[in-house]
Amino acid sequence: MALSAADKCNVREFWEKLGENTKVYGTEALVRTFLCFPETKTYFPHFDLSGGSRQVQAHGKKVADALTLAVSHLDDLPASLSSLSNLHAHRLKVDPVNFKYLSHCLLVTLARHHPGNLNPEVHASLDKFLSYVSVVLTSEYR
Amino acid sequence: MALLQSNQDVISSAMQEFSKLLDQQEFTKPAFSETDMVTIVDDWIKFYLSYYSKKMTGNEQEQERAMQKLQEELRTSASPFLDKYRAFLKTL
Repeated sequence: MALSAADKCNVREFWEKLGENTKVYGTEALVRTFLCFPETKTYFPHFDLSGGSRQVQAHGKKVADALTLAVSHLDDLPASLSSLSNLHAHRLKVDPVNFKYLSHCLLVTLARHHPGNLNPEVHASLDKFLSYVSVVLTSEYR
Repeated sequence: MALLQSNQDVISSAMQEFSKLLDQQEFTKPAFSETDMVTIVDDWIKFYLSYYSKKMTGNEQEQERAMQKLQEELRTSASPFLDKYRAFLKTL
């Protein structure tokens, strides 16, 4: 599902409002994913998954930074995320369904922290954007 | 007793947005389990109820009736979506 001009505008404007908090939200979304969909933990056997874990925080930051990169390249996501796509497909070998779980948990996290800014239209645009990112990150699995 | 027109209008716009959200979903492999998709749809409904609860007007009772109606409509709208998803899972 392609992003419309309105979607891109919604995503950029909303993401900009998050500022440096994206890292906190990235971490909270990860923790929420592990709690709500425990099967996703299987990909992090080497991680300390307890509350406040530095490893989870570090990974949450990576997720946030990757999404910030994606937001700044909405017109050419495949190129901007190609190294990440390669990493996930060939080295990490993460089950692609995990991106969908994480995407959903990030939306829940953002709705919790930004009820005023996240209206249903922006929610739908972010949902599309995160789905598109998931597709791009799993494109090299085929 | 009919709902306040303003609350009925809020419900109508909520349902428009919700059907857009459902319509944009693409069922692809690898797929969520049915249980997980039910969880996700529930989260969407909670988000909509939380967001639109602030838009309702009138006294407490009127707002409660309007929110009750909104919840019923959201669940009714989600039902065929979940049926479609179950059918998709059977094709895998």
